[in-house]
Amino acid sequence: MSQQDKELLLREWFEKLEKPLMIYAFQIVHDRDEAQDLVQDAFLRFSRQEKEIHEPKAWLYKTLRNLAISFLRKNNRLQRTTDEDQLDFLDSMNKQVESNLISNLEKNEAINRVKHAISVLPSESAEILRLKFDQQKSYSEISEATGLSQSNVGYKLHHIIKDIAQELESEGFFK
Amino acid sequence: MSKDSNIGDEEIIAFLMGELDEEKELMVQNALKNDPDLQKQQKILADTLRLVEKSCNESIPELTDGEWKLSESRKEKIFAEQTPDLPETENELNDHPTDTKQSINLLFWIPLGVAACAFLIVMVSETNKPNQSESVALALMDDQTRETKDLIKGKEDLVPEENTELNQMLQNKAQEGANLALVKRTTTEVLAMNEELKQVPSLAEAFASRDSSLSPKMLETDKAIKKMADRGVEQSMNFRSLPSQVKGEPRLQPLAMSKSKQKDETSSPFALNDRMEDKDSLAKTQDNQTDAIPIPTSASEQVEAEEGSIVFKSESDTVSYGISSELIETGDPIPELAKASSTLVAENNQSQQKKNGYDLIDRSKSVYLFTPKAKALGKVKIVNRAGPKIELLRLHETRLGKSALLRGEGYQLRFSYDDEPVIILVGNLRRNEVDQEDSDPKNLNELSSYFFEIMESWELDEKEIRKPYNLNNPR
Repeated sequence: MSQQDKELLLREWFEKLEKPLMIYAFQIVHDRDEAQDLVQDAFLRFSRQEKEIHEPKAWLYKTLRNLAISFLRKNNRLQRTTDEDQLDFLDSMNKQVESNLISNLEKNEAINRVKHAISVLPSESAEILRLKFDQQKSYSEISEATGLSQSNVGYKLHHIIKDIAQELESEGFFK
Repeated sequence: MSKDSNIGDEEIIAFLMGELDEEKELMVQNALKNDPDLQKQQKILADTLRLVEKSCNESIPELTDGEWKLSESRKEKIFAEQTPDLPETENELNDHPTDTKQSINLLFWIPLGVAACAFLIVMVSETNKPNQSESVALALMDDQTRETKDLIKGKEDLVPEENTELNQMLQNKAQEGANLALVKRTTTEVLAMNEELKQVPSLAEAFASRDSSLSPKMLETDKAIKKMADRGVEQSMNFRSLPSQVKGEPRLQPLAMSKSKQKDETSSPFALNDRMEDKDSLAKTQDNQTDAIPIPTSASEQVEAEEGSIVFKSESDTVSYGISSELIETGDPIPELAKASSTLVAENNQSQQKKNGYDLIDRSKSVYLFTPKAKALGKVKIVNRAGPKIELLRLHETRLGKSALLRGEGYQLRFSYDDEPVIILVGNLRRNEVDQEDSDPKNLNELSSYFFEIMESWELDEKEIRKPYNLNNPR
């Protein structure tokens, strides 16, 4: 691949994934500056890759996740539920609890990834998921609630689930 | 989608969520039983549905307002790497101008400040310090004296029973003393000494004739040695109480004396008794020499070995008294001494035949300095060498602040030649602190002087493979 092609590829995926990756990094480290650093690092690594990357999106997500977990391990930082929940959370924890939480984070990588995928869905799709899985509504009930046809609800749900499944599979969650 | 049953992901997802009627549900179940690919797909979708369900049951993080974009500087850094013309370091500098420039400034200014302080201290204390040549000569002399004293201390309790042992010790002392004397002599003096020695009748002639006037003196010498042995080593091995000849100044001493006395001394080269009685005057002479003589030069280079002359090889530690082999066959009255001397002559001749490795060092045109990690520090110039100690100048020392840090073990000097393999010397490098004090203040910004002490020596063969290289006995 020529240098020009590499640059085009980088620009293409940067345009597509700058925002979702920033959100994903922020959801893990809960610090906007750190999230920027991590995303920058992920794209730099992407641009420096000598070998051809077959699934750039999966590669970038996987790299960013690994960088974020390394960062948390390195800095003994924990996930916080919200951006504002900053004060005295870490201080109140002993190191054992911290390591457990980091370990949980690693174990729940898949759930976090799915949460992220849902968080960046268009509002209509997110609402369909909420009605189906949170409120346990049937296709017909969702159809009534949203005004979409029943088959359209099924079609949309199918696409949402399939897309998430594909992303998880390409990022190696089902190996 | 299954080719046989037209069952796709949509049907499987609807099946997993219980949204299919019974007929379609049976169809999907049958298709799943018969199609392993569908089973695999069904498993993936089922796992995904479980994760989505679990995620929906937990709180989905809400996105706070704000620009989910990288800062411009970060973007620039990412895309700047794609431009091959710009080196990475330059891009980094552009992206983080304040941080990087600050660190560069610190790296530059701190050593510069230290160097400036050192310079001021040197300037202030310059007048109080002795000159460089004296310091170096004294340092070398102190080292050798200390070694000699250690040797003597170690052997204080030993009492030699035979003259051979005494002779051996006397030879050792003579060697050490000779080195000490050579260190203190300048090239001119050594050359002058050789000239004088050429004029002296050879010892071979002297010993060949029984009627020679030298014989009684020789007998006296033999008696003196025996007498010393009787007194015991404690007295005879004491460096301060040794006669000048034993201290290694048997033939060189006349150079520092008056001309009339030189004639007497050279005409009776083994007049030990006379010397023994003149300990005080010897000590004075030694002191005078030490004061008067500047930096020691590589004396061994200057002294040409000839039969009938005295040669002191400081590097190979061999001493020749220039006695011809005929002496031994003539039934000499002091056979042990003659025998010992002849051994030394043989050793010296052997060392003369082999080319000394130091000669290669001294004639190298290109010498380069490397750090212990083999980082090149540029060309150096060898200005002086005394045995394994080399004084050198760095020719391309541009960063004066950093140069002050050059000291420690494992530094390498590489000598290259047109007709010889490359020689690598590994050793300790230290800055010549005295150099700046001694030099003209106007020249302080010029080249820095260093001392290099050889610890290991290697040569590179034709295949660029390192092989140990013995400087005293090259090949």
